[in-house]
Amino acid sequence: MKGNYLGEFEELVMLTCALLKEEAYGINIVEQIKEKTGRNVNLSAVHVTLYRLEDKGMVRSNMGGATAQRGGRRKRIFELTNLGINLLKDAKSNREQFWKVIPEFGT
Amino acid sequence: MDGKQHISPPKLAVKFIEWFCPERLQETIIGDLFEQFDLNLERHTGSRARLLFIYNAIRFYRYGILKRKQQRQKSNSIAMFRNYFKTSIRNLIKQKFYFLLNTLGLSIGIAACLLCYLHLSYSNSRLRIILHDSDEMDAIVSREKVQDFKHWLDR
Repeated sequence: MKGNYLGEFEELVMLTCALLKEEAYGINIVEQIKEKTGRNVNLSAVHVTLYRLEDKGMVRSNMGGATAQRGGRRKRIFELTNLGINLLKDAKSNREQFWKVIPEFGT
Repeated sequence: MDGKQHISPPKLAVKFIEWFCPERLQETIIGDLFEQFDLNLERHTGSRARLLFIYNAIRFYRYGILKRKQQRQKSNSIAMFRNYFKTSIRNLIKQKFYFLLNTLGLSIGIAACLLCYLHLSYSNSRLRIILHDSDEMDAIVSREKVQDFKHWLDR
């Protein structure tokens, strides 16, 4: 491994995952990102990112309940693994190190 | 909302997803698309929601999804080429002298060929010489004859 680094979109998706907890699945993440950041992301982009993160072991998934809305199809609920949580924290603290030494940007 | 209740997502788009999408992911993808369709019904008209459903279904046709389908029947040719590569590198390391001789010889050969070509193309090229005395006639002369031509002009 060359090192685990998070992309910007990956980080956004993971944070949304952490926020939604039990309700973290494809369309909910899209809606939540839209609500929080006003950014229109495509459903397929979120799906692909989640699968990639799963391959890297930063999230894990299990099948959730089905609702009539979905035509009886189950959801795939994602949750962060310990590796994922640690990487998020690393990313945050790394950035804060930079922010602290740039006083011009203020708070 | 009751009036929109009977509008259902286009079946063809669902078929499309089922065709290219790996089975493991199909259920959740189509489920999510259905839920998005319901949300879009609340926000837009029925026909627009259907169009958006088709658009979003097509957007799933991308490498990140497709590659997961092929994982099982992945061919071994990459491993084969990696093996070739590895064995040849090891052989080269084992026989350093002959490797050096070979590459040196080849590179000198290629360089010589290129130089020959350059020289030939230079000497075969023609020169267009403009005669100052008469304004109508030019002369096109091969490089080897330029000297003769000058003599002839001086005469």
